[in-house]
Amino acid sequence: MYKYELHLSTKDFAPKYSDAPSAEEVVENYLKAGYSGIVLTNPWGYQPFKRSDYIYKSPKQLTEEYLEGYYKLKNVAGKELDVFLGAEVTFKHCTNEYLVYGLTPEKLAEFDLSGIYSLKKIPDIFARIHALGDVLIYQAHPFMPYSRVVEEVYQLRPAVRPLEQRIDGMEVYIAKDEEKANHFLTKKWARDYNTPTISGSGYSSVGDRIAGGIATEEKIKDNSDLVKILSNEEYKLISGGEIQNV
Amino acid sequence: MFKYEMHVHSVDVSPCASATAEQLVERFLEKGYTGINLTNHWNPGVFKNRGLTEKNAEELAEYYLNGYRRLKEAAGDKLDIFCGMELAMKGCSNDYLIYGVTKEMLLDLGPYFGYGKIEDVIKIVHSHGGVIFHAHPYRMWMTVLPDHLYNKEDEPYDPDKFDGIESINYGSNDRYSNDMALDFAEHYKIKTITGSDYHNKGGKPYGGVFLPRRAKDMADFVDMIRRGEYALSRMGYYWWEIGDFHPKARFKQ
Repeated sequence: MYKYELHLSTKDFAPKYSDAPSAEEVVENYLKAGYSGIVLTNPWGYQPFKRSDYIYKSPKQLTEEYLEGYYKLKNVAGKELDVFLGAEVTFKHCTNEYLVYGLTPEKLAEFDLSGIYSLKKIPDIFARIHALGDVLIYQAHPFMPYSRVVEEVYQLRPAVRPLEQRIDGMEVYIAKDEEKANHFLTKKWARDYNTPTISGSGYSSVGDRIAGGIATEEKIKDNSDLVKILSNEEYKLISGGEIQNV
Repeated sequence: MFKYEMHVHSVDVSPCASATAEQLVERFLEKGYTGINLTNHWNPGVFKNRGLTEKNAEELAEYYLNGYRRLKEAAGDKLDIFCGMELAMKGCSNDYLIYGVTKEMLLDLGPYFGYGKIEDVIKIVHSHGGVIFHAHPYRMWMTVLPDHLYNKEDEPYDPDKFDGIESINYGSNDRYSNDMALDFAEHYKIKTITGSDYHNKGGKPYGGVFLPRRAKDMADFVDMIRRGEYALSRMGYYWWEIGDFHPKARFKQ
Protein backbone atom coordinates (compact mmCIF):
# COMPACT_ATOMS: atom_id res chain seq x y z
CA MET A 1 0.00 0.00 0.00
CA TYR A 2 1.10 3.56 -0.68
CA LYS A 3 0.31 6.23 1.91
CA TYR A 4 -0.52 9.83 1.02
CA GLU A 5 -1.08 12.81 3.29
CA LEU A 6 -3.98 15.06 2.31
CA HIS A 7 -3.76 17.89 4.87
CA LEU A 8 -0.56 19.66 5.75
CA SER A 9 0.96 23.15 5.85
CA THR A 10 4.49 24.48 5.84
CA LYS A 11 5.77 27.73 7.22
CA ASP A 12 6.46 29.15 3.80
CA PHE A 13 2.87 30.30 3.40
CA ALA A 14 1.11 29.46 6.63
CA PRO A 15 1.14 32.70 8.58
CA LYS A 16 -1.56 31.59 11.01
CA TYR A 17 0.78 28.94 12.36
CA SER A 18 3.76 30.52 14.06
CA ASP A 19 5.42 27.13 14.58
CA ALA A 20 4.65 25.56 11.20
CA PRO A 21 7.27 23.10 9.96
CA SER A 22 9.87 23.80 7.31
CA ALA A 23 9.92 21.92 4.03
CA GLU A 24 12.94 19.94 5.26
CA GLU A 25 11.17 18.86 8.45
CA VAL A 26 8.07 17.80 6.50
CA VAL A 27 10.03 15.67 4.04
CA GLU A 28 12.12 14.03 6.75
CA ASN A 29 9.12 13.21 8.95
CA TYR A 30 6.88 11.90 6.20
CA LEU A 31 9.60 9.67 4.79
CA LYS A 32 10.19 8.34 8.31
CA ALA A 33 6.46 7.64 8.61
CA GLY A 34 6.54 5.63 5.39
CA TYR A 35 4.49 7.97 3.18
CA SER A 36 4.87 7.95 -0.60
CA GLY A 37 3.49 11.42 -1.16
CA ILE A 38 1.91 14.52 0.29
CA VAL A 39 -0.55 17.16 -0.85
CA LEU A 40 0.51 20.62 0.30
CA THR A 41 -2.60 22.42 1.54
CA ASN A 42 -1.31 25.77 2.73
CA PRO A 43 -4.03 28.22 3.80
CA TRP A 44 -5.47 30.26 0.94
CA GLY A 45 -8.05 32.94 1.45
CA TYR A 46 -8.91 35.07 4.45
CA GLN A 47 -6.29 33.75 6.86
CA PRO A 48 -3.18 34.63 4.86
CA PHE A 49 -4.49 37.26 2.46
CA LYS A 50 -5.99 39.59 5.01
CA ARG A 51 -2.74 40.11 6.87
CA SER A 52 -1.68 43.72 6.87
CA ASP A 53 1.41 43.05 4.79
CA TYR A 54 -0.55 41.05 2.23
CA ILE A 55 -3.60 43.16 1.52
CA TYR A 56 -1.75 45.50 -0.81
CA LYS A 57 -0.34 42.74 -2.93
CA SER A 58 -1.90 41.96 -6.28
CA PRO A 59 -3.55 38.58 -6.91
CA LYS A 60 -0.58 37.70 -9.15
CA GLN A 61 1.90 38.49 -6.36
CA LEU A 62 -0.14 36.48 -3.85
CA THR A 63 -0.23 33.48 -6.18
CA GLU A 64 3.51 33.71 -6.82
CA GLU A 65 4.29 33.80 -3.12
CA TYR A 66 1.89 30.95 -2.52
CA LEU A 67 3.59 28.81 -5.12
CA GLU A 68 7.06 29.48 -3.69
CA GLY A 69 6.20 27.22 -0.78
CA TYR A 70 5.10 24.46 -3.15
CA TYR A 71 8.23 24.72 -5.34
CA LYS A 72 10.47 24.72 -2.29
CA LEU A 73 8.80 21.61 -0.86
CA LYS A 74 9.01 19.86 -4.23
CA ASN A 75 12.67 20.76 -4.52
CA VAL A 76 13.50 19.42 -1.06
CA ALA A 77 11.47 16.23 -1.62
CA GLY A 78 13.19 15.49 -4.92
CA LYS A 79 12.33 12.01 -6.12
CA GLU A 80 11.91 10.56 -2.64
CA LEU A 81 8.44 11.94 -1.89
CA ASP A 82 5.75 12.94 -4.38
CA VAL A 83 4.42 16.44 -3.75
CA PHE A 84 1.06 17.59 -5.10
CA LEU A 85 -0.38 21.07 -4.95
CA GLY A 86 -3.55 21.67 -2.99
CA ALA A 87 -4.97 24.45 -0.86
CA GLU A 88 -6.95 25.03 2.30
CA VAL A 89 -9.52 27.76 1.64
CA THR A 90 -10.19 29.73 4.82
CA PHE A 91 -12.82 32.28 5.86
CA LYS A 92 -13.42 35.13 8.25
CA HIS A 93 -14.51 34.64 11.88
CA CYS A 94 -14.85 30.86 11.81
CA THR A 95 -12.71 27.76 11.62
CA ASN A 96 -14.34 26.54 8.39
CA GLU A 97 -11.69 25.25 6.01
CA TYR A 98 -12.09 23.56 2.65
CA LEU A 99 -9.38 21.39 1.15
CA VAL A 100 -8.87 21.63 -2.59
CA TYR A 101 -7.13 18.92 -4.61
CA GLY A 102 -6.03 18.82 -8.24
CA LEU A 103 -4.54 22.30 -8.34
CA THR A 104 -1.63 23.24 -10.57
CA PRO A 105 0.35 26.47 -10.78
CA GLU A 106 -1.38 27.22 -14.10
CA LYS A 107 -4.86 26.83 -12.59
CA LEU A 108 -3.96 29.00 -9.61
CA ALA A 109 -2.64 31.70 -11.91
CA GLU A 110 -6.10 31.84 -13.56
CA PHE A 111 -8.04 32.11 -10.33
CA ASP A 112 -9.53 35.45 -9.33
CA LEU A 113 -8.91 35.82 -5.62
CA SER A 114 -11.39 38.65 -5.07
CA GLY A 115 -14.28 38.05 -2.69
CA ILE A 116 -13.32 34.58 -1.54
CA TYR A 117 -13.45 35.47 2.15
CA SER A 118 -17.19 35.44 2.76
CA LEU A 119 -18.71 32.18 3.94
CA LYS A 120 -22.13 33.26 2.63
CA LYS A 121 -20.75 33.25 -0.92
CA ILE A 122 -19.49 29.71 -0.61
CA PRO A 123 -21.60 28.10 -3.39
CA ASP A 124 -20.32 30.67 -5.90
CA ILE A 125 -16.75 30.30 -4.63
CA PHE A 126 -17.05 26.53 -5.09
CA ALA A 127 -18.36 27.01 -8.62
CA ARG A 128 -15.37 29.20 -9.47
CA ILE A 129 -12.94 26.67 -8.01
CA HIS A 130 -14.60 23.77 -9.84
CA ALA A 131 -14.48 25.81 -13.06
CA LEU A 132 -10.68 25.45 -12.97
CA GLY A 133 -11.33 21.88 -14.09
CA ASP A 134 -10.48 18.51 -12.55
CA VAL A 135 -10.44 19.74 -8.95
CA LEU A 136 -12.18 18.45 -5.85
CA ILE A 137 -13.29 20.26 -2.67
CA TYR A 138 -13.65 18.63 0.74
CA GLN A 139 -14.62 20.24 4.00
CA ALA A 140 -11.90 19.87 6.63
CA HIS A 141 -13.03 18.87 10.15
CA PRO A 142 -16.63 20.11 9.65
CA PHE A 143 -17.60 19.97 13.33
CA MET A 144 -14.47 21.35 14.91
CA PRO A 145 -15.46 24.00 17.53
CA TYR A 146 -16.13 27.41 16.01
CA SER A 147 -16.95 25.96 12.59
CA ARG A 148 -20.24 27.14 11.13
CA VAL A 149 -22.75 24.65 9.79
CA VAL A 150 -23.00 25.24 6.04
CA GLU A 151 -25.29 22.48 4.88
CA GLU A 152 -26.43 23.95 1.59
CA VAL A 153 -23.34 22.74 -0.19
CA TYR A 154 -24.12 19.18 0.85
CA GLN A 155 -27.37 19.12 -1.10
CA LEU A 156 -29.56 17.87 1.67
CA ARG A 157 -32.69 19.63 0.52
CA PRO A 158 -34.95 18.86 -2.43
CA ALA A 159 -34.12 22.18 -4.13
CA VAL A 160 -30.67 21.23 -5.31
CA ARG A 161 -27.71 23.34 -6.07
CA PRO A 162 -25.87 22.74 -9.34
CA LEU A 163 -23.08 20.17 -9.05
CA GLU A 164 -20.31 22.74 -9.35
CA GLN A 165 -21.59 24.61 -6.28
CA ARG A 166 -21.51 21.52 -4.13
CA ILE A 167 -18.88 19.95 -1.99
CA ASP A 168 -17.21 16.71 -3.04
CA GLY A 169 -16.86 15.28 0.45
CA MET A 170 -15.68 15.79 4.00
CA GLU A 171 -12.63 15.05 6.10
CA VAL A 172 -13.95 12.46 8.51
CA TYR A 173 -10.72 12.21 10.52
CA ILE A 174 -8.09 14.78 11.43
CA ALA A 175 -5.22 13.86 13.74
CA LYS A 176 -4.54 17.43 14.91
CA ASP A 177 -6.86 18.36 17.84
CA GLU A 178 -8.49 14.98 17.32
CA GLU A 179 -10.21 15.05 20.72
CA LYS A 180 -12.02 18.30 19.87
CA ALA A 181 -13.05 17.50 16.31
CA ASN A 182 -16.36 15.69 17.09
CA HIS A 183 -15.47 12.87 14.72
CA PHE A 184 -18.53 10.90 15.82
CA LEU A 185 -20.73 13.61 14.27
CA THR A 186 -18.71 13.74 11.05
CA LYS A 187 -18.93 9.97 10.66
CA LYS A 188 -22.67 10.05 11.29
CA TRP A 189 -23.20 12.78 8.74
CA ALA A 190 -21.07 11.00 6.14
CA ARG A 191 -22.94 7.74 6.74
CA ASP A 192 -26.46 9.14 6.89
CA TYR A 193 -26.06 11.45 3.91
CA ASN A 194 -23.75 9.28 1.82
CA THR A 195 -20.94 11.83 1.72
CA PRO A 196 -17.52 10.72 0.41
CA THR A 197 -14.82 10.93 3.07
CA ILE A 198 -11.11 11.53 3.34
CA SER A 199 -8.68 11.76 6.23
CA GLY A 200 -5.75 14.03 7.05
CA SER A 201 -3.19 14.70 9.72
CA GLY A 202 -3.65 18.48 9.70
CA TYR A 203 0.14 18.62 10.10
CA SER A 204 0.86 22.29 10.62
CA SER A 205 3.06 22.57 13.70
CA VAL A 206 6.39 21.02 14.57
CA GLY A 207 5.66 17.90 16.60
CA ASP A 208 2.17 17.24 15.20
CA ARG A 209 1.24 13.61 14.71
CA ILE A 210 1.37 12.11 11.25
CA ALA A 211 -1.66 9.85 11.55
CA GLY A 212 -4.06 10.63 8.70
CA GLY A 213 -4.38 10.48 4.95
CA ILE A 214 -5.24 7.75 2.49
CA ALA A 215 -3.68 4.47 1.40
CA THR A 216 -3.83 3.24 -2.21
CA GLU A 217 -3.02 -0.04 -3.94
CA GLU A 218 -1.12 1.71 -6.71
CA LYS A 219 1.24 4.65 -6.62
CA ILE A 220 -0.45 7.93 -7.55
CA LYS A 221 1.10 9.07 -10.80
CA ASP A 222 0.11 12.73 -10.93
CA ASN A 223 -2.57 15.27 -10.02
CA SER A 224 -5.14 13.90 -12.45
CA ASP A 225 -4.56 10.44 -11.05
CA LEU A 226 -5.04 11.80 -7.51
CA VAL A 227 -8.34 13.40 -8.49
CA LYS A 228 -9.50 10.20 -10.21
CA ILE A 229 -8.64 8.07 -7.18
CA LEU A 230 -10.39 10.47 -4.81
CA SER A 231 -13.46 10.74 -7.07
CA ASN A 232 -13.80 6.98 -7.35
CA GLU A 233 -12.95 6.47 -3.66
CA GLU A 234 -10.25 3.97 -4.63
CA TYR A 235 -8.45 4.21 -1.32
CA LYS A 236 -8.59 3.30 2.33
CA LEU A 237 -8.59 5.89 5.07
CA ILE A 238 -5.74 6.20 7.53
CA SER A 239 -7.02 6.96 11.01
CA GLY A 240 -4.88 7.18 14.14
CA GLY A 241 -1.94 6.06 12.04
CA GLU A 242 -3.64 2.82 11.01
CA ILE A 243 -5.01 1.91 7.58
CA GLN A 244 -8.72 1.24 8.05
CA ASN A 245 -10.20 -1.74 6.31
CA VAL A 246 -13.76 -0.43 6.16
CA MET B 1 -48.14 14.98 33.77
CA PHE B 2 -48.00 18.69 33.11
CA LYS B 3 -46.76 19.89 29.74
CA TYR B 4 -44.88 23.18 29.29
CA GLU B 5 -43.78 24.66 25.98
CA MET B 6 -40.17 25.85 25.89
CA HIS B 7 -39.92 27.85 22.65
CA VAL B 8 -42.64 30.29 21.57
CA HIS B 9 -42.68 33.72 19.93
CA SER B 10 -45.41 36.34 19.80
CA VAL B 11 -46.07 39.21 17.44
CA ASP B 12 -45.78 41.75 20.25
CA VAL B 13 -41.97 41.50 20.30
CA SER B 14 -40.58 39.04 17.72
CA PRO B 15 -40.64 40.62 14.24
CA CYS B 16 -40.66 37.16 12.65
CA ALA B 17 -43.80 36.04 14.51
CA SER B 18 -47.45 36.66 13.71
CA ALA B 19 -49.09 34.71 16.54
CA THR B 20 -51.07 36.95 18.88
CA ALA B 21 -51.37 36.34 22.60
CA GLU B 22 -54.96 35.13 22.12
CA GLN B 23 -54.01 32.71 19.37
CA LEU B 24 -51.21 31.28 21.50
CA VAL B 25 -53.50 30.70 24.46
CA GLU B 26 -56.15 29.04 22.33
CA ARG B 27 -53.71 26.80 20.45
CA PHE B 28 -51.70 25.61 23.44
CA LEU B 29 -54.80 24.95 25.53
CA GLU B 30 -56.20 22.93 22.65
CA LYS B 31 -53.01 20.84 22.62
CA GLY B 32 -53.18 20.11 26.34
CA TYR B 33 -50.38 22.36 27.61
CA THR B 34 -50.32 23.55 31.21
CA GLY B 35 -47.99 26.46 30.52
CA ILE B 36 -45.82 28.34 28.09
CA ASN B 37 -42.37 29.90 28.33
CA LEU B 38 -42.56 32.93 26.07
CA THR B 39 -39.14 33.13 24.41
CA ASN B 40 -39.30 36.18 22.20
CA HIS B 41 -36.15 37.28 20.44
CA TRP B 42 -33.70 39.50 22.27
CA ASN B 43 -31.18 40.65 19.70
CA PRO B 44 -30.11 43.85 17.99
CA GLY B 45 -32.47 43.25 15.05
CA VAL B 46 -35.59 43.24 17.23
CA PHE B 47 -34.91 46.58 18.81
CA LYS B 48 -33.55 48.29 15.73
CA ASN B 49 -36.72 47.32 13.84
CA ARG B 50 -38.80 48.98 16.48
CA GLY B 51 -36.70 52.14 16.53
CA LEU B 52 -35.52 51.62 20.09
CA THR B 53 -32.09 52.70 21.18
CA GLU B 54 -29.76 49.91 22.16
CA LYS B 55 -28.25 51.92 24.93
CA ASN B 56 -31.26 52.40 27.21
CA ALA B 57 -31.61 49.13 29.10
CA GLU B 58 -34.77 50.25 30.93
CA GLU B 59 -36.61 50.93 27.65
CA LEU B 60 -35.53 47.62 26.20
CA ALA B 61 -36.61 45.71 29.31
CA GLU B 62 -40.04 47.37 29.43
CA TYR B 63 -40.61 46.79 25.73
CA TYR B 64 -39.68 43.16 26.09
CA LEU B 65 -41.77 42.54 29.19
CA ASN B 66 -44.87 44.00 27.59
CA GLY B 67 -45.07 40.98 25.31
CA TYR B 68 -44.96 38.71 28.34
CA ARG B 69 -47.57 40.79 30.17
CA ARG B 70 -49.92 40.67 27.17
CA LEU B 71 -49.71 36.90 27.04
CA LYS B 72 -50.19 36.56 30.78
CA GLU B 73 -53.29 38.71 30.63
CA ALA B 74 -54.71 36.75 27.70
CA ALA B 75 -54.04 33.45 29.49
CA GLY B 76 -55.57 34.47 32.81
CA ASP B 77 -55.61 31.42 35.04
CA LYS B 78 -55.99 28.98 32.12
CA LEU B 79 -52.24 28.68 31.34
CA ASP B 80 -49.06 29.30 33.34
CA ILE B 81 -47.05 31.94 31.52
CA PHE B 82 -43.34 32.31 32.28
CA CYS B 83 -40.93 34.82 30.83
CA GLY B 84 -38.11 33.39 28.76
CA MET B 85 -36.00 34.68 25.92
CA GLU B 86 -34.20 33.64 22.75
CA LEU B 87 -31.01 35.68 22.84
CA ALA B 88 -28.56 36.29 20.03
CA MET B 89 -25.57 38.57 19.85
CA LYS B 90 -23.97 40.54 17.06
CA GLY B 91 -21.38 38.69 15.01
CA CYS B 92 -22.81 35.22 15.61
CA SER B 93 -25.94 33.48 14.33
CA ASN B 94 -26.29 31.33 17.44
CA ASP B 95 -29.43 31.56 19.57
CA TYR B 96 -29.71 30.78 23.25
CA LEU B 97 -32.91 29.97 25.13
CA ILE B 98 -33.09 31.49 28.59
CA TYR B 99 -35.70 30.64 31.22
CA GLY B 100 -36.53 32.49 34.41
CA VAL B 101 -36.17 35.93 32.85
CA THR B 102 -36.78 38.85 35.22
CA LYS B 103 -36.55 42.59 34.74
CA GLU B 104 -33.32 42.64 36.75
CA MET B 105 -31.81 40.07 34.40
CA LEU B 106 -32.89 42.12 31.38
CA LEU B 107 -31.27 45.23 32.81
CA ASP B 108 -28.00 43.35 33.28
CA LEU B 109 -28.20 41.81 29.80
CA GLY B 110 -28.91 45.16 28.13
CA PRO B 111 -25.32 45.99 27.24
CA TYR B 112 -24.74 42.58 25.63
CA PHE B 113 -25.54 43.49 22.05
CA GLY B 114 -21.95 43.86 21.09
CA TYR B 115 -19.47 41.18 20.17
CA GLY B 116 -19.61 39.97 23.75
CA LYS B 117 -18.75 36.53 25.00
CA ILE B 118 -21.48 34.03 25.61
CA GLU B 119 -19.58 33.00 28.74
CA ASP B 120 -20.44 36.40 30.27
CA VAL B 121 -24.13 35.99 29.35
CA ILE B 122 -24.21 32.55 31.01
CA LYS B 123 -22.85 34.07 34.24
CA ILE B 124 -25.48 36.81 34.22
CA VAL B 125 -28.34 34.37 33.61
CA HIS B 126 -27.23 32.05 36.40
CA SER B 127 -26.60 34.91 38.81
CA HIS B 128 -30.29 35.81 38.44
CA GLY B 129 -31.46 32.25 39.03
CA GLY B 130 -32.17 31.48 35.38
CA VAL B 131 -31.07 28.62 33.12
CA ILE B 132 -29.71 28.78 29.58
CA PHE B 133 -29.82 26.26 26.76
CA HIS B 134 -28.18 26.44 23.34
CA ALA B 135 -31.03 26.56 20.80
CA HIS B 136 -30.92 24.33 17.67
CA PRO B 137 -27.11 24.08 17.81
CA TYR B 138 -26.69 22.35 14.43
CA ARG B 139 -29.04 24.41 12.31
CA MET B 140 -27.67 26.10 9.18
CA TRP B 141 -25.14 28.88 9.94
CA MET B 142 -24.90 28.00 13.62
CA THR B 143 -21.41 28.01 15.12
CA VAL B 144 -20.35 24.74 16.73
CA LEU B 145 -19.26 25.36 20.32
CA PRO B 146 -16.69 23.30 22.27
CA ASP B 147 -18.19 20.64 24.50
CA HIS B 148 -16.48 22.06 27.60
CA LEU B 149 -18.99 24.95 27.57
CA TYR B 150 -21.84 22.60 28.50
CA ASN B 151 -22.70 21.06 31.83
CA LYS B 152 -22.55 17.29 31.63
CA GLU B 153 -24.65 14.75 33.51
CA ASP B 154 -21.67 12.94 35.00
CA GLU B 155 -19.84 16.07 36.20
CA PRO B 156 -20.53 18.51 39.06
CA TYR B 157 -22.77 21.41 38.02
CA ASP B 158 -20.80 24.44 36.86
CA PRO B 159 -22.65 27.79 36.81
CA ASP B 160 -20.23 29.07 34.15
CA LYS B 161 -21.55 26.58 31.60
CA PHE B 162 -24.72 26.04 29.60
CA ASP B 163 -27.43 23.99 31.25
CA GLY B 164 -27.92 22.04 28.04
CA ILE B 165 -29.09 22.20 24.45
CA GLU B 166 -32.36 22.19 22.54
CA SER B 167 -32.04 18.81 20.90
CA ILE B 168 -35.25 18.90 18.87
CA ASN B 169 -36.62 22.09 17.38
CA TYR B 170 -39.88 21.52 15.54
CA GLY B 171 -39.41 24.71 13.55
CA SER B 172 -36.32 23.37 11.77
CA ASN B 173 -37.10 22.36 8.20
CA ASP B 174 -33.99 20.40 7.40
CA ARG B 175 -33.16 16.68 7.52
CA TYR B 176 -30.22 16.72 9.83
CA SER B 177 -30.01 19.40 12.56
CA ASN B 178 -32.17 17.67 15.18
CA ASP B 179 -30.38 14.34 14.61
CA MET B 180 -26.97 15.97 15.06
CA ALA B 181 -28.07 17.78 18.22
CA LEU B 182 -29.47 14.57 19.73
CA ASP B 183 -26.25 12.70 18.99
CA PHE B 184 -24.12 15.54 20.36
CA ALA B 185 -26.13 15.52 23.60
CA GLU B 186 -25.99 11.75 23.90
CA HIS B 187 -22.25 11.58 23.26
CA TYR B 188 -21.34 14.20 25.85
CA LYS B 189 -24.20 13.43 28.29
CA ILE B 190 -25.66 16.92 28.02
CA LYS B 191 -29.16 17.71 29.26
CA THR B 192 -31.68 18.54 26.53
CA ILE B 193 -35.06 20.17 25.98
CA THR B 194 -37.31 20.27 22.93
CA GLY B 195 -39.20 23.23 21.57
CA SER B 196 -41.87 24.02 19.03
CA ASP B 197 -40.26 27.29 17.92
CA TYR B 198 -43.84 28.43 17.46
CA HIS B 199 -44.16 31.68 15.50
CA ASN B 200 -47.40 31.59 13.58
CA LYS B 201 -50.91 30.27 13.73
CA GLY B 202 -50.03 27.25 11.61
CA GLY B 203 -47.02 26.27 13.71
CA LYS B 204 -46.45 22.83 15.23
CA PRO B 205 -47.02 22.77 19.01
CA TYR B 206 -45.06 19.55 19.57
CA GLY B 207 -42.21 20.53 21.86
CA GLY B 208 -41.51 21.26 25.51
CA VAL B 209 -41.23 19.32 28.73
CA PHE B 210 -43.45 17.21 30.99
CA LEU B 211 -43.24 17.93 34.70
CA PRO B 212 -44.40 15.47 37.37
CA ARG B 213 -46.39 18.24 39.07
CA ARG B 214 -47.61 21.70 38.20
CA ALA B 215 -44.93 24.37 38.76
CA LYS B 216 -45.79 26.67 41.67
CA ASP B 217 -44.26 29.64 39.90
CA MET B 218 -41.47 30.53 37.45
CA ALA B 219 -38.67 30.03 39.99
CA ASP B 220 -40.03 26.58 40.84
CA PHE B 221 -40.23 25.72 37.13
CA VAL B 222 -36.65 26.80 36.54
CA ASP B 223 -35.45 24.78 39.54
CA MET B 224 -37.10 21.65 38.18
CA ILE B 225 -35.46 22.21 34.79
CA ARG B 226 -32.08 22.79 36.39
CA ARG B 227 -32.39 19.58 38.39
CA GLY B 228 -33.53 17.60 35.33
CA GLU B 229 -36.90 16.75 36.88
CA TYR B 230 -38.72 16.50 33.58
CA ALA B 231 -39.28 14.37 30.52
CA LEU B 232 -39.23 15.63 26.98
CA SER B 233 -42.20 16.26 24.77
CA ARG B 234 -41.69 14.68 21.37
CA MET B 235 -44.44 15.31 18.87
CA GLY B 236 -46.46 16.36 21.89
CA TYR B 237 -45.98 13.06 23.69
CA TYR B 238 -44.01 12.04 26.75
CA TRP B 239 -40.65 10.69 25.63
CA TRP B 240 -38.73 9.06 28.43
CA GLU B 241 -38.64 8.57 32.18
CA ILE B 242 -37.96 11.61 34.28
CA GLY B 243 -34.40 11.62 35.53
CA ASP B 244 -33.42 9.06 32.93
CA PHE B 245 -30.99 9.99 30.21
CA HIS B 246 -31.78 7.84 27.16
CA PRO B 247 -32.47 10.09 24.19
CA LYS B 248 -33.49 7.19 22.00
CA ALA B 249 -35.47 5.22 24.56
CA ARG B 250 -38.83 3.67 23.85
CA PHE B 251 -41.72 5.86 22.88
CA LYS B 252 -44.22 6.27 25.66
CA GLN B 253 -47.55 7.97 25.74
